[in-house]
Amino acid sequence: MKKKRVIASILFHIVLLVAVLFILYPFVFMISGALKTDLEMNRHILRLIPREITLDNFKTLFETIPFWKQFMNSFCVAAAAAVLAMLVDGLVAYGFTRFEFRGKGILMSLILATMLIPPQVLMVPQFQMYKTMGLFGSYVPLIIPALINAFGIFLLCQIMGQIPKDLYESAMIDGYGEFKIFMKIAIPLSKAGIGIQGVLTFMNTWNDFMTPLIYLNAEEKYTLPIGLMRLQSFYKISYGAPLAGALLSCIPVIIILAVVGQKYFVKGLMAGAVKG
Amino acid sequence: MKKMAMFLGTAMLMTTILTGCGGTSEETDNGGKENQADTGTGGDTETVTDTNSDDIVIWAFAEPHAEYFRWVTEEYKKEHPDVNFTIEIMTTDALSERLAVINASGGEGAPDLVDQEQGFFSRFMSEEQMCYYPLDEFMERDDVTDKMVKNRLDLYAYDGHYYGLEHALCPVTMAYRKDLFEEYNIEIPTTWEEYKAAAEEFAKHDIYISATKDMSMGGELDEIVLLLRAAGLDYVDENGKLNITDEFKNIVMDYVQMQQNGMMYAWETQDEAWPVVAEDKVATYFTADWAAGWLRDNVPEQSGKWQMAPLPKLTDTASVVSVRGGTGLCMTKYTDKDKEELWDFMKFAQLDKDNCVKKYEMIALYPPVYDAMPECNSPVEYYDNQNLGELYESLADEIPVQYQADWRNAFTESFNSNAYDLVEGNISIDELTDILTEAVNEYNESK
Amino acid sequence: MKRNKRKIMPYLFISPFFILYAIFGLYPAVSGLILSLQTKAGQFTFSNYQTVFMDSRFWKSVTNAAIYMLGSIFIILPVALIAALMLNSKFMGKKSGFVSTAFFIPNVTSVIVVGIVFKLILRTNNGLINTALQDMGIIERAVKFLSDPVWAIPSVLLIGCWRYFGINSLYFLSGLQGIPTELGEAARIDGAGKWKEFWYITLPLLKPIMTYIVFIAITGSFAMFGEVITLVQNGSSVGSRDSMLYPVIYLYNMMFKNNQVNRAATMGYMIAVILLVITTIQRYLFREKD
Repeated sequence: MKKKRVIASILFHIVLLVAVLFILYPFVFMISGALKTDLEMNRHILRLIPREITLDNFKTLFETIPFWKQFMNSFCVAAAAAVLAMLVDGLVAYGFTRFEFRGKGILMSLILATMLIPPQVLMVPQFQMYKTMGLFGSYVPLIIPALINAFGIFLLCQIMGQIPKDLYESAMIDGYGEFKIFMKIAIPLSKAGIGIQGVLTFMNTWNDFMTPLIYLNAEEKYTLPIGLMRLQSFYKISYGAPLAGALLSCIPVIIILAVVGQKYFVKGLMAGAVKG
Repeated sequence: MKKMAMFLGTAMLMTTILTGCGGTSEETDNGGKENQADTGTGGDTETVTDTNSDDIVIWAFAEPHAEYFRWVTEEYKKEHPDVNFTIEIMTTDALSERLAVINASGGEGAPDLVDQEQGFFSRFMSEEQMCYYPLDEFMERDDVTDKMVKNRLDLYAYDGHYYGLEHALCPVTMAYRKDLFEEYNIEIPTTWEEYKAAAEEFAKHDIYISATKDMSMGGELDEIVLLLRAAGLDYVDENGKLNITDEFKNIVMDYVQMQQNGMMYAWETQDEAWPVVAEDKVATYFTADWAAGWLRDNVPEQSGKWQMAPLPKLTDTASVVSVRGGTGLCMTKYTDKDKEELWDFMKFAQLDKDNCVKKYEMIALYPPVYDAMPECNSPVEYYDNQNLGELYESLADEIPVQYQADWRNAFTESFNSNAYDLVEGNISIDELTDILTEAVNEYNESK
Repeated sequence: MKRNKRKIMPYLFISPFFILYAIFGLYPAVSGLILSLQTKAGQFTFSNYQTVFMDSRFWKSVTNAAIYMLGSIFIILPVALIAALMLNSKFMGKKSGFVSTAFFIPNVTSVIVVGIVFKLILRTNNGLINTALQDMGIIERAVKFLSDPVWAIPSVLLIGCWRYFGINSLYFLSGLQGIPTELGEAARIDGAGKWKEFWYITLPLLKPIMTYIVFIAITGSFAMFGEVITLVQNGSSVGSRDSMLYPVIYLYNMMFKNNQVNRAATMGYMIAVILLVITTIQRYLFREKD
């Protein structure tokens, strides 16, 4: 019986190792590629530790595109989207969990129903609309999708719903207005959930590819994904510089995962999905 | 503890937004792309500050043209201090796509000048889609046709009007490894037959005759069409009609066979070629002026080993030089600026002798302007001090015409879709011809 | 007065979403419908739907998406479920934090990064997979993963697998952790084997989360865009025999390359309808039976 357990454990760890390697290998490959010379990349693609470590790829990257400018563009857009999304989702979730009102059920289903329409399908009319509004080339179309995110509202409703109603009642007796209750009680008590929502929005906007591809029209305004895509179209550029750029573009996401606390974050993310 | 970290993270995000990104939220509010102020620094690239609607807006794609525009607009400003420019750079695809969309919806937000890549020009070749202003009256008045190689102007001609001023002559000649040809005692090929023979000879020594794009990936057919064009047998004929000749079929199949037999190195993306070149395994390379520097940039250690020669001839009457690529500066019909003023700048950038010379020095685009050519003729170190400019000038009037057709996109799409089957032998070249013809016909009908 | 205020209050709080959605979601949806029913000149017509319906390339793109969808449901999700069962196992111990983070990372990696890396992994000359297989002597001639129509969908599936199997297994894991352990114990006391326990207890209890995951897989397949655009020559080619043509890419090209706004809007609606049909079928299949 014990022997069987040991074998099972070994098998388990082998499979787990394979799975983790499968996921992490492309990242290791990316780091190694960013430090390799083009020649070594082409001749020895399997070699993970470069024989000759070079920083030329980073140099080429910074010389070819305004990398840090685009990095900051991405960061500002993602941060603005995150903050606004936290605010909007928080308000709506508070409205749904705090009050009983006519049409609550229908309105909630309406919000969930918006998930049925993939945003890509609305690409054409949305583009026409933004253009008529004079927002083509601005960052507005990049931020809006984060604010009409049904899943985020749903997730926050799950978390805010756990706040005891008594707290609200006693705050009202203390003479708090609804907005003050929202700011002083609802937000602090669900800040973990709101924070997760913010982080998720940040990452989604940071990584967004299609929207900036459609709406941004000048290199100085590009966000990183589009900057990196353009980088690949230069004749002099092979794979080193794009890999270097890709590596640097992953940093904020990795920092967030590290700072926010992996276990906490992943668990929090799933809290909403369980009931989905 | 973890809650603390969470809170700190959120607070961090908040503060960054409040401090670092004042510009962004402003932009979010103001919206319009014309009135936003750029924040931060742009590194090496020029940062556009204080943009206003009086600026002449130029859309350019990628370097090196943008590099030239940055320089030439500064020069122009020295003479015309009241004129300002905004240069917006985007990908080649994006530029044409945005322009087409803007055009379809009445021109709101259109730039004043556009650096139009010739391959994408065909997209604008219909009454509905033509978003450029015909330059005929200006060109006639300033005798442009006498100053510039006429074939390069025809590239931007549609329905009897001229729409663009070309940047470069774009002559294609054959770069070759002098040392390899000498080492294996092979003659420099002057005809296509000799070229194929040389390929077989080199193959015996494990050397590729050339490195070209893998046919099964499809593509623009650029390499193949070069020789056809030099022989006047391009698949677009002078009336803008599709014309697939036997020569076209033969040369496509020659390429397929050379790639399949390992005589020609087939790449999916260009950069795969350089390590092979670096290992002394590539003997020739058809290259335009703008790409002559690629060898220098990617295999600097082979300096002095490469030489430039005229192209092998596909037919007896073929020219020994071909033409590839090109970009024309065009004026949009939506501009609200004084067209005379725009034309003055276009002349300054594309026709002025000194600026043309500077452009050649700066980004290696050999001018299509006659009086600038002699000034550009100096020995090039990488090509064993061969005088490339002189070679180009001597061939300038032999440069073939490249005809434009609005169906080029449909043709290329269809070719891309079927190239793999051709290479694998699933369809014959005649069947491919039928498919291509049908695709073009379908396009013409759908107009 | 005060009573009225109390009545309006909830609506005030939830209004931001509805206002924003009305402007940026509903309005385009309606104007898209109008666009799809118009000619370029603005006259009323059904011909756009007719054109799209008869367009074999459109159906080719839908077929590609459908095959990819089946692939992700029947390959990626089972793999993710196995991974989730492992993560939930007693051997896992303290490693679970690290492993979950690792599983989460691909999902928050930008699609352009994925494109850059996987192009190198899949390319023909000196590509990672080809080099590895050739070095091991398994194949002689390199496989053209990016141009061979047979390999087009498997290549994209590989990327999908890498990107999404981690996050899906985390979703499954959250479902597994919601199953009370007593149920399993009770089953074991009754003498049910591991397999039976999985089939009759675990799987049915995972149904709610599975409904969600499969739904995401379906919409994700039909919204495929970035992966392919970054993989195949920045979208200028869609592979031989349109093997890399997906609905949204076709729509994008129709809009921005061919500039046929009305036809593109029509395609948007057609895609939405197809999706609606598939997700309705899915919900029917996943309905609670009792």
